[in-house]
Amino acid sequence: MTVLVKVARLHLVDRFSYTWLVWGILALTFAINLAIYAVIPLTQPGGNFTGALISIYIFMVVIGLQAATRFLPFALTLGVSRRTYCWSSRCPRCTPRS
Amino acid sequence: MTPTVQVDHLTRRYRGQLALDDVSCELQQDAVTGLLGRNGAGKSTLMRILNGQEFPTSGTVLVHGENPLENDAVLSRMVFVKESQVYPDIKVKRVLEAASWFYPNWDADLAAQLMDDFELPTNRAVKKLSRGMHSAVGIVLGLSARAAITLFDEPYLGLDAVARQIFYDRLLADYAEHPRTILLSTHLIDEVADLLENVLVIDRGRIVVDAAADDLRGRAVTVSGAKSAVDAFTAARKVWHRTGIGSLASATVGGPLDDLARTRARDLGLEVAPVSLQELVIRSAQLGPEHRPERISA
Repeated sequence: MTVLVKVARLHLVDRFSYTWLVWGILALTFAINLAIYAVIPLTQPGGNFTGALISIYIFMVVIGLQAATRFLPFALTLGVSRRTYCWSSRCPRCTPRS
Repeated sequence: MTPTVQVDHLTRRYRGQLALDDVSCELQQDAVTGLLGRNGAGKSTLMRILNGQEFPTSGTVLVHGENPLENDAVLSRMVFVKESQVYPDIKVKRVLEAASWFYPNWDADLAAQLMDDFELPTNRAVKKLSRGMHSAVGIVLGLSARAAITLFDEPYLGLDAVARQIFYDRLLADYAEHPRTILLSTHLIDEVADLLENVLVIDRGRIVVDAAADDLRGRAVTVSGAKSAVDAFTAARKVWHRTGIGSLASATVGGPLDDLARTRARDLGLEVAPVSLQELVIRSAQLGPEHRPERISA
């Protein structure tokens, strides 16, 4: 198991935040939008657009902040380099180590 | 012995403040080294640089012959438990489970044993632990990892005396069975004095003592007795510290004392006592750079 995989796995240890909460937010957003569609008549041709999916991006920003403030210090304790951690988080400013 | 870590003329400066000033030292392989010093002396900065978490302003650090900065091959053999270790918002058992993936020598049995010893609740989230329990998680992680280089930066914050003793006992027992390079930074010098094989004392960013713990014993002595006798004895000696009350006085002088000096002290009616490691650290820090004796080295 490479360090990259270990770091990715490390984040998935927080199963609630990284899996269930994501799906929970999506499900809730979907349900709320269904309810909105049910009560509001169509105003645009082809359907209404609410932009509710942006909630998942906001959630990802929060998760990203948490990854930097909570998981990164823990990963450094475990001997992970910042560069590896950054790359595992798909940080565009870092290049992967060979 | 082979040095695992070599620090050469290391300096770290923060916006005009000198945290480390031309530090050179070595950590011997498979030895427990104490990094001692006052608050703000530069202990944590040195440890962070050793772990590649901080950049030196100048100088070099080699760990297993390589620069640790962003070096996965070196860092994967290190564990660094800090005073106020930050953990993700997960349960204790998840913290240890995650840590086990990173260390091939991880000992799950030892981790379980330590969890029992510290009475840590495995199913509780780390953020809900008390200060002492929070520290205990770091100790469990640091010891169970069995990393080739283990750095403990005052890991016992909030731990009571019993728990600290458990830490010292388990550290010693596990180290005896699985020798590795351990660097332990601490304020509680007397408590760890018997654990240490080597001692590094850092003060105002400079290493003032770098010696084997055994060699340090007898490096300084305290003579006490009548004030006139103490004055006579210390007249031609460098006095590290002097106290007096009424007609009695006591002085800490650099040692070791040879037979002649001991005989003279006895003739003057003085009592000669060895200086404890803690006292040695305190005195060397109190002297100040202008009066401090040359760096004590093995």
